[in-house]
Parts: sequence; C-alpha cells; structure tokens
Amino acid sequence: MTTPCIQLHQVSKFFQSDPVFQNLDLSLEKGEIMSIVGPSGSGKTTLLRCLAGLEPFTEGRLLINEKDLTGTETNKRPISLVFQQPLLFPHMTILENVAYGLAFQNIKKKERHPKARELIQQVGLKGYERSYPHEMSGGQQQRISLARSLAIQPKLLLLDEPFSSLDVQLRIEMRTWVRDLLKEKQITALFITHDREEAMYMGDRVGIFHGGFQQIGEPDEVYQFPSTPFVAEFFGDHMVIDEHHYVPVQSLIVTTQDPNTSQYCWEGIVKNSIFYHGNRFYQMSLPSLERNVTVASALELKTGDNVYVTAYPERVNSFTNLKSKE
Amino acid sequence: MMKTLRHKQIQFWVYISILFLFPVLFLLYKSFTLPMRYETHLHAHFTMQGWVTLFSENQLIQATFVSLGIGAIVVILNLIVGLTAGYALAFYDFKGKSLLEALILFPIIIPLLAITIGVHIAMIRLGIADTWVGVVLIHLVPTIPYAVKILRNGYTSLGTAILEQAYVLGPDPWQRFLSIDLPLLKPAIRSTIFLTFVISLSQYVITAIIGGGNVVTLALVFFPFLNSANSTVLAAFSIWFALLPFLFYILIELLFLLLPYQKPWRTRS
Amino acid sequence: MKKYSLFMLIILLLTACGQSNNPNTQSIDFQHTSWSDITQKADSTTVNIHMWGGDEGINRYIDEWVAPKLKEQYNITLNRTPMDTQNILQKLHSEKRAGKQEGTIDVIWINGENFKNAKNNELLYRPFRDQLPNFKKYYDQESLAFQYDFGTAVDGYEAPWGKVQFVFQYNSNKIEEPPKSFEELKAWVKDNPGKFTYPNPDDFSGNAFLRHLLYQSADSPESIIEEPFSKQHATKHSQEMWSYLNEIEPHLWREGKHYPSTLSELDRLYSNGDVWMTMGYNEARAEHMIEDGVFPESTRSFVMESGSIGNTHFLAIPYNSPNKEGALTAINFLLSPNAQLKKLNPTYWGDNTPISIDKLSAEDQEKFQSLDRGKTVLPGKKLEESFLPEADSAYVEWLKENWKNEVIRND
Repeated sequence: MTTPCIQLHQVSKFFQSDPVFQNLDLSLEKGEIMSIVGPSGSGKTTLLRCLAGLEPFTEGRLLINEKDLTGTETNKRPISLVFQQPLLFPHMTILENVAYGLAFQNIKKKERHPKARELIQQVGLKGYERSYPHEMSGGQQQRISLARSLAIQPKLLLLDEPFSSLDVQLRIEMRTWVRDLLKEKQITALFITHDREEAMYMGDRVGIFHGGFQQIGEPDEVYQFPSTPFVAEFFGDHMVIDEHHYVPVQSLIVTTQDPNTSQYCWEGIVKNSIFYHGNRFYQMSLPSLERNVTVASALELKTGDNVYVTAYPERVNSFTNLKSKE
Repeated sequence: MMKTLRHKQIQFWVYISILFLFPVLFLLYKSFTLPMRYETHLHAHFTMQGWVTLFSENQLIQATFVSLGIGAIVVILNLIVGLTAGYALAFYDFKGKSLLEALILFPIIIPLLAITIGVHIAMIRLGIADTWVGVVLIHLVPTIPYAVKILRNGYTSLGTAILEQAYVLGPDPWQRFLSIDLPLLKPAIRSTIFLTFVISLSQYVITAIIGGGNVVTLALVFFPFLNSANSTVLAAFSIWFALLPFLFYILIELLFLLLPYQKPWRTRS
Repeated sequence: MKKYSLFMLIILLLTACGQSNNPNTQSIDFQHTSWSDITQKADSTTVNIHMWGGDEGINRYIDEWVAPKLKEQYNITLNRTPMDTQNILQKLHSEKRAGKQEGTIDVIWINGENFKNAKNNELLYRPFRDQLPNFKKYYDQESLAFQYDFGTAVDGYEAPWGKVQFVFQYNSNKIEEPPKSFEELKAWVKDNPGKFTYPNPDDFSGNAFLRHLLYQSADSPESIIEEPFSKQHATKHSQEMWSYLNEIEPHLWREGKHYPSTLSELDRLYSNGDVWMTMGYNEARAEHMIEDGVFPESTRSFVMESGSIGNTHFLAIPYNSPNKEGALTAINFLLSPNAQLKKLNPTYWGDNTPISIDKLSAEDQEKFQSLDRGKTVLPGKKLEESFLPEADSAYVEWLKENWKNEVIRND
C-alpha cells in the first residue's frame, strides 16, 4: 500500500484557550478530492487556513509526501488556496494573474507565459489574456483564480467555498466543470462547502465537520449510514429518534388514524405543505420528539391537522459509531 | 445620457478653471507684471524684476536643493514608518492599540512650536541641532501622523484577503510588497508622498530653530518675503515654491514606473 | 516602527531632561586684548550673521557690498542667514538651557523687546561696544538714543547700526497738502471717508502709529518717555487717544469694520488706490516701493508737527558665538563711515545712519550731505527736528491689548 500523499497527525487549533478542533487525523491519496462540509462556524475554514500556513496549528503535524511541513512558511508550502472571492490582482492582466505564482518558482521567464496561456485555455478563457479582472464576470474571475492556483502545480489544492458568491445556475455548472478539471489534472484537493449536495458531488469522500470530523466516508455511505445524530440531521435525510436510533425519512408513513401497530409512532401537527419534484411533502411537528420532520404523502392534509407518523421497526437503525462500539 | 455626460464635462472644466487654472495663471501673470495700481490698472506693465530678484537671491538654488534633499529623506522615512506602522495598525490586534493610535496623532494636536522647543534642547545634547539630521527629525513630527493615518487606511481598505491570496502563491514578503502592496497602495502612497513633502517644504519656524540657520531651506529664504508688499516678487517666489512639489511629484511618478506590473500606456477602461 | 519608537523615546527623553544650567565656562575676555590682535585673529574666519531676510534691498546690501568688502579688507567670509530675530532668540535660549557653549551665530540684528529679552536672559556676549574703534571715533558717546533701547539700558551689549523714523506716505496726485497735525488728519479723514486706515496694533507699524497718538494724548511726550511704564499712568494719559480713534473709525476704510492686519496689507491697499495714505517705520521706504512699482510715482512723505518717533537698531553678539573676534571686526566695519554711507544709499537699503556727521572728516561729511536719498525722503534737518525717542517697550503690549477693548469692542 502506498503512503498517502497528504497526512495530518493529531492536529489541534486553539484560539487563546478555546479549541476550534482537536486531535484530527486525516490522510488523502494523490489525486483524491475530499469535501469537507459543516455548518458555518464549525472551524472548517480555520482548518484550511492552518493547512495553507496562514495560521499555525497549535499542535500536531502536517506531512506532504512524508515531508514535515508543519513549520514551513505559507509561501514555501506546495499548497494553494482558492478563496470564496476570486481575489484577482486588479493591476494585472489575466495572463499576469495566472503567471504570478510562477515568478517565484524556478521557472524560466520565457516559459511562464506559455504555461499560463495553457491554463487559461484549459479554464476556457482563451482570448482574454490581455483583459483586466474588472472586465470579467464573476464566474470567469473564479475560473481565473482557480487557474492561478493551479499554475504553481500545488501538491494540495484547497478550495474554500469557491462557488458561494455565484448564482445557483452557475454554481452547478462550475462544480461539474471544476471536478472534471481536477480529475483530469490529478490534483489532490480539499473542498470546503456548507452545501451537502455540492459536497457529495465534488468529493470522492466527504468529511462532516463540526469541531472535528464527525464522520468521513464515501458520500453514499455517509448519507445512508450516519455515525452520529449530528450527521444524520445535517447530512442525511433522517429523523433522529433518540441518541441511539434514527429512521430514514422516506420510510415514514403518515396516517390520519392511529395505526396502533408500531412502537415507533408519534402524533404530529401539519405545519406546511410544499411540492418538490412533483411530490407533495408536509412539514409537521412531532411534539413528543420535540422535532420537525418533512415527509412525503399522498394524503390531502390542511395546516393544523392532527396526524400520526409511523416507522417500521425494521427500518429503524442504530448510529454506526455505536454499532462499532457494541 | 450623452447630454448629461457632456454637461458634466463642461461643469468639470468650469470648476477646474475657477478653482485651479485661473489662480495659477493669474499668479504667473502677476510674476511678470508690475503690481496693479489705480493709475495703470488698464494696461499691465511687463517686468522681469520679480524673477530677477528671485534669482539674485544668492541662496536660492542651494536652498532649493537643500529643501529637495530634506524633503526626499523625510518622505522616505515617512513611507517606511507609515507602511510598517500602517500595516500593523490595520491588521494586528494587540493591547493598547487604540491608545497607540491616539498617541500617533498627538503631534498634530500639540502645538508644533512647543514640541520643537523641547526637542531642541535634547537635540543640542545629542549634537544633532544645527544639522540636517535634526531638521529631518523635526520634520517627521508634523508629517508622521498623516503618513501613518493615510497608509493605515490604505491597508485597511486593501484588506488581508488579497495579501493572503498573494502569499499563498509563493512570494516572500519583500516580493509580495513590491508586486502587490506597493502597486495597490499607490494612491495612498502618492498622497503620503505629496502631503509629507509639502509639509516638510513649508516648515519655517521649526526649521529655523532646529537648523539654527545652518540648514537653509527654501522656506527660510522665502517666508521673510511674505511681509513684502511687492506682489511681483511674491508671485515669482510662490511659483518657484510651488514648482518644487510638482517636480518632486513627476520624479516619483517616474519611479513608480519602475515597479512591476505598471502599464501607463494602457488605461483601464 | 523602530524608527518611530526611537523618535518617541527622544521626545520622552527631552521632557524628562531637566534644565541643568551648565556654568558658563568659556569667557574669553577681550577687554585687554588690543584691537589689532582681534582683527588678526579674525583673519580668514567665517562670520555668521543671522538676520531678518524679508527685504531684498537689505539682503543685497549685505551680500553684494558688505560681504565682498569684508573679504577684501579683513579676509573674513560673511555668511548671511535669513532668520527672524524671535527664532534666533528661541534658539539661543534653548542652547543656553542645554549648556551649549559653541553656537552657530556670531552677529545678530536686534532692538526693542527682543533686546530686552536677550539681555535679561543673558543670551548676549559681554559689553563690547565701547571697544569698537569706529564707535569711539564717529559716534556720540553720550547720545540717549544709544544708552536706552525702548527703555532698556543698553550697557554696551549692542552697537548702533542704523536708525529709522516713522513717516506717513501720501499720494500727492490726490492730496495737495498733507495734514500737519492729528487734528488736521481727523478733519481730512472725515472729508475723505474710506481713504484712510491704519494697521491693527498687533502689527509693528500699526502699534507705532498709536504711540504717536499716545504722545499727543499725554500732556507732553516727555511724560510718556521719561516716566517708567505703569498701567495707571498709561490709562490716565490715553483717554484722548481712544476717543480720537473711535471718532475717526466710521470714516475709515470699510467703515473701520476691518483693519489691515499687517503693514503689507495697508501698502497693498495704498498701491491699489483704495486708500490714499500709508505709513511706515522707515523714512525712506517709499523710494523702494516706487522703484519696485508698488507705490505710485507721486508718493511723498510727511511727518506730524508734533513729532515723529524714531528708533535705533543695533548689532549684538550671542553669548556662544564661535567667532567673537570675527564678530567684533565685522560689527566695527558695519559701523564705519563707508559702510554707513553705502547703507544710506537708496540703491541698496536707504537706512538712516546713527553716525555723528560732525565727527567725520570734511570729505566724508560732504559725501553724506550730498547723498540724494530721493524725492520722497524728507530732508535730514526736518527729520532730526521732529525726532521723538521710543518709550518703554511695555507700551507696545499694553496698546495691543487695550486697543481691542477700547476700539474694537466699543463698536
């Protein structure tokens, strides 16, 4: 087995004495894209900044190809970071922007511009080399920003919610396109987002982050088998029954009469109804669980109606982290 | 749309003429004509006397160079202090930051003469009174607060993000400063240079006291003439005086061209 | 940042530095040195003269005539630096406090309040005047004008360089007969509203204008000149002056709502023809002004029959002059008949001489008498007859303060 390209050993970050995350371990294979998804304020951006060297880790080590880079200056790390904003240098042309990082590597002056041109072509902006950033649209700017980060051939590319400033349509186009490009170029990347769809699409693996990794795994696995209540609620479409059990929402049944059949039956009140992909969904509150849940149902219900929500016992699962302990 | 643009252009030129062009041209005209009198107010009398007096002042040329030299050093020191302190104040959080910021503005609030008289004694003891070093130092007092304030604001509006972005791409701090900070802070740096140079140039009393007459700047030669009623000589002097910052400005702009990523011939639309 | 903290440190240091007065260790006594020794020692040295530099005539006199002559006759390099006397004294004051015995200034041009300040603070070199051969030979040793400088005893700390007298200028195209007395002036002002004003007494000349009125207001000028200053005395003798000023105020330029803040401002008004009279503490000033095209050719001057105040201005040596021999030699030269004659010449400065004409050789007397000071300058005899000495310099401040209360706030 090959050693992973990127390794994090027991890293922690404290601001004063408050921990942002503690004792994280993580490794990435060459060419692997991993999504990190978590609510805002969960510390995922801080993790990225520490990886880039903009902040020091309080404890732990960062290895790239077995080389310890924990104490290395930002500019000397083979790591590149694409921010939420394109942050293009306004006084430089597109070509100069993309070629910027090459000036600090051992690359001959003559070779820098051809290299940058190639990248600009790859991000589909051939012909704009002599334009200035302010002449470009938001999506184009973010693509140039990506090209600029790729130009220095980083061992690890960090993407900090790079599409969050774009509108929905453009976002969906961009993520397809960026993933294809990264895969084509075999770039190892960490992709941060708070959008779970984006995380699932972009990542070969996803990490659910909330003051540390709650669960890391392939997207399907994490979606279907959450390891903690937090993951179940944040990432999957599950209803948490108690701290040990959950049930996928699609297996819940709504009736107006008490079915008297299952131990997993709760009274609910209809709050709202919405259509999604042609199906009718009801948002309802379950006072006994102190939860809200959105369930599909063909029934005609009105706001305020009393209903019963039932789950088949065989559909009720235990959280994976508990299973392994059992 | 076109109409309003045109209208605005006309407005711009009218304001420029009234506020800038006319006074300057009038000053130029005055420097070549005898002072106006009611007997002769209809026709101007051409005279070179203002300029002859100016250049017959045997310390003029030397004083001009002294002023340029001192001004240049003051500007450079201001940029060093202003950029470093401005960066720290814009991006670092530390205890007593607001106190320090208030302290930096102090020299503007305290009467300059009071500071100078106090500093003078210390400078005599240090042996830098009556030298250009002393004059440069005392010129820092009324200029540093402005330099720090302007460059701090420059860095604040630049923000950390773009600097971090650059840093990630590999330049060392000095390379980053040259390729990113300096070009992007150009407006703030330009204001700092111009303002501190003009302030340094026009210091009369503090230069006289600290320089002790050993350091004769243009202000020392020029200011006593302000009491003169001869508007021709005054006008000639004023133009010469105003020419200095202008020349300095051009010099700086030429220096700016040496910075990386400067393309003066391609204007941004 | 480092630079700045260093600078802050210096500022802090100096506030901490107390005033330690080092005893004046250096005191070369020239009293018993012969004059030829002094000039010998002055040979091939540099003398730094710091003086007010706002008049090109004066500057040219020093740079173009005095400096070459000093070089030629004594091999002394004279270096003129423009600097206001107050700043010079400020500098000397700080140097005194810091105990600096080696200064940078050898000669200063001084009189009045500045002299009083310098003398009281011991900023001047010891009495030297009576050692100067030219002073002993050509000047009236007994003259009161050399014994007192605005009421301060001179005691030999300064040597007379020149004298000036206060005169009024008028445009003879507009005014046929200038007023002879302040009463006539009042009548003229009323007949010609808006054509007269005087500078705010914060200005040197404006203040001198008021002192003329003060002399007039008292029973006799002597009661002001000879009595020491006291507020009671001043108040008692000034009532007439304030009522005079308030009486003419509505007829002044801009109805007296605004007074020129400097003499230059008044000169400009006169130059533009807004007012028809100006004034100044220099009987020959109109010559320059006409030559420069500032004043109209038809400008003439006059003095009041009640008299015209004049004062003497002096040269002195700072306590820490690095070249006292050179300073003595240069001052002695500046007092010489030749230098005084050139100074009187309107092509340069046109400044009157304090020299005693009758002590000069017949040849020199002839030169002084034949010198044409210009048609705007009153004859020497007329000036001498009307000469009134200055009173205690405390009046200057007193007038500044009280004028605001009596004239401005009285509106």
